Amino acid sequence: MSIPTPTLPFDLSQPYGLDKQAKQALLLETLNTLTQWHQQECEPYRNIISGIFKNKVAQTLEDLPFVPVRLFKTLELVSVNKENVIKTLTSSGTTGQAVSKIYLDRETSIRQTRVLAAIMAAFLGKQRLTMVIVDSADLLKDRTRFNARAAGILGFSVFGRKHFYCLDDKLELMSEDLQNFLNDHLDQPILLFGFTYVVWQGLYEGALKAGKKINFGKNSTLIHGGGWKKLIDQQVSNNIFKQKLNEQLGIERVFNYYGMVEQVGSIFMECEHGHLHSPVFADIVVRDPITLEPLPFGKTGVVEVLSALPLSYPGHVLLTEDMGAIHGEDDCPCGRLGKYFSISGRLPKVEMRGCSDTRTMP
Amino acid sequence: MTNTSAIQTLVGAASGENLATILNRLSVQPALRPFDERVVNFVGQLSQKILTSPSVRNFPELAALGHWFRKARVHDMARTYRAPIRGQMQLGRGLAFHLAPSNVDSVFMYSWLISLLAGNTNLVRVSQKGGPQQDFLISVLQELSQKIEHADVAIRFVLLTYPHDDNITKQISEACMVRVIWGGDATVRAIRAIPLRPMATELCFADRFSAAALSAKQVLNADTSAFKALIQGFYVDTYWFAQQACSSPRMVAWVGSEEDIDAAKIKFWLALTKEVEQRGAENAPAMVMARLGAAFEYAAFGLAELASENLVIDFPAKLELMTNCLDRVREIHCGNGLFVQLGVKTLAEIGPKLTAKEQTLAVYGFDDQEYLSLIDSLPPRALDRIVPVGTALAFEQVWDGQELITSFTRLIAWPQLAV
Repeated sequence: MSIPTPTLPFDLSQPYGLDKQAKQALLLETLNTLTQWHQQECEPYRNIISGIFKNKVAQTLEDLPFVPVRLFKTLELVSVNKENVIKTLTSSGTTGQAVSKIYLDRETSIRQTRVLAAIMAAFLGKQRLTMVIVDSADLLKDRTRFNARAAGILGFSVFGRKHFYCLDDKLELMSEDLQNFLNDHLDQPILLFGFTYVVWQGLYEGALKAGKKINFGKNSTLIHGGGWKKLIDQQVSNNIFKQKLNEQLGIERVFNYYGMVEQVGSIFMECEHGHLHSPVFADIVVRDPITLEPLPFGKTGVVEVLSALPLSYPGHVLLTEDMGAIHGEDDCPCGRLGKYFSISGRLPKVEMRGCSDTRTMP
Repeated sequence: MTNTSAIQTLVGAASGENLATILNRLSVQPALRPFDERVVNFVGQLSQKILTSPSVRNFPELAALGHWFRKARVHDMARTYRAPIRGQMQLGRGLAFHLAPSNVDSVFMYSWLISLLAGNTNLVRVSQKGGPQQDFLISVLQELSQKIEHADVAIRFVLLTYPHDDNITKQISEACMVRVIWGGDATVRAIRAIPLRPMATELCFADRFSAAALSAKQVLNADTSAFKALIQGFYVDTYWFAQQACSSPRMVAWVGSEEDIDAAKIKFWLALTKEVEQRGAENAPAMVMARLGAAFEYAAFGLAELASENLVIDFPAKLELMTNCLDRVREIHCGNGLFVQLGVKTLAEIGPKLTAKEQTLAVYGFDDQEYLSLIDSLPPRALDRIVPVGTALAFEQVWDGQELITSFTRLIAWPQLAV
């Protein structure tokens, strides 16, 4: 029996509108169908589902067969003919490390754009705001092969207009040009987007170094993501981040998001109460890092992310190497339904003996 | 010019002694005959110091090291070499340069101590990463070296470390008579590209892969104590170093009829899982992730899959091999308590599946005739050791097929008049 292309049966105008019961039923069915679809379309994935999960059909979201996210670094996992791939996303990985390769076809790409738009509309409203992108315009030169940052910028830039890239090719703040841009758009709400450490290093520290207080004005909103690793190293917490950006740059609202190149689109946005939220198209499971048993709310473990979007690659259920804890479901004071959670960092690395070139011993 | 400022000497160098001076000093020392009394004495005391130190309890591999070089054992080794061969004298080769692996704190000790016993002077580059075991060994060596009675031996070795730097390695390589490289394939290749003097020799210990072969019938028939010894031995072979040692079995070949194999597997893995639970084993989240990654990769490529009674999260994790191409299986394997297993009818059937990469076969339950058939069926260079389960990690004087005292010495002919 041939599985037709799975649909996306969600109300895009209500990305946080389903309660636990309604969401679980709809998402489980969608994700089970996606598992069948990818089994049909992707041979390595089919082998994994039979070789590791024995083709069992999941009865709960926690039961869904996952793929460790590192597999996208070592395998080509793609569920469409290569000629239908319109974009290949790569993770930003440090030099020398293997990078994830995510293959997107037109349909998956459209789904990502539509879902991201739905999520952003829930936070920003429908109008497109004057937008400052905290990065260098040079990043977008090769349009066929995107790294995570370029893909993020391109994805988010559609929610603004009159885009201004405020960093030069060395990621240094062009403070004069930025000031001129802001002067030209006085009294307009400004939307800023950037990667967390680029915002901190390029914009905040750049302004500090230049001795410039910049005022993005009332109703300015920053959306940022990409991970806290570099800032945790400098002991910059989310609170400090928000406070400093407000002091130095007058940014009123700051929303972090949790997302990854392996699941573009269905991102987890931080609400006004500092919680990351699952939209209806996505969900999160937290597992014990040794036994992989699902953990109760409040317990920290390794994060698994679910997304109804991926058609061109089998990335709808991913076991990440991030640690986090779910804090509750359907009862965040912000009013959004769905699970809300926080991310506490990366899985602790042990000094791995082996799996490298230097492991030899008798 | 070589920039030698990055060199940090750890043991055996006087303060202010630079690399050129060290190399010169070690090169002009006469080569000794193997098992010179002074060296034997030094090594014996080193062993004793290690074994009686309170911190050795935390490091079973250091206890094994101390035990290996205990005085009585070294005397036994010496007896073999003192037996005079008429008209031939065995002598050390001169300066030996040892490049230690980065993750194992004890293996480099075997190599250079045997070389010291063989009569050589030694320059040892230890890993920059260090670690508590390495620190401990260095402190013991420092302490011993300062004793007057060891003055003659203490001038015969230097331990140092430096960041990877071809110029420094080149300078030492030009001075040494023997070079010993422990490391991954890429490391060994890179270092071998650095020339030695024309008469120098080289020993390389590169990446290897190891397996176990178990007789299903014998596993089933084993009495309680033999079975217990088998499980404990297998635990030591595979869990002491999180299956990272080259000689730790990563593949398990079951030999026998299908029914015996099925029953033996259940009995064996159940007992091993209990053993791991009871004795404990390092199983950090990063190791779980590494194991999962490898298991999924095996499955994705159709190289191996789970049997229906097993889970991917089991510890140890067991996968059934579905291929004869061990190259890919080796590349993907990352240790940490993961086993790929296969079934064969006879031990000799394993032979053709092995390659030059395979080093140790840990075995249980076979007879001499079966071993001989296996050895006859091996491709060139495959397997260096067939050892009982429980001794896969034990260092031996013959390593990777080379008798080390022989490799570290030369023979000088002389007109001997009387025996």
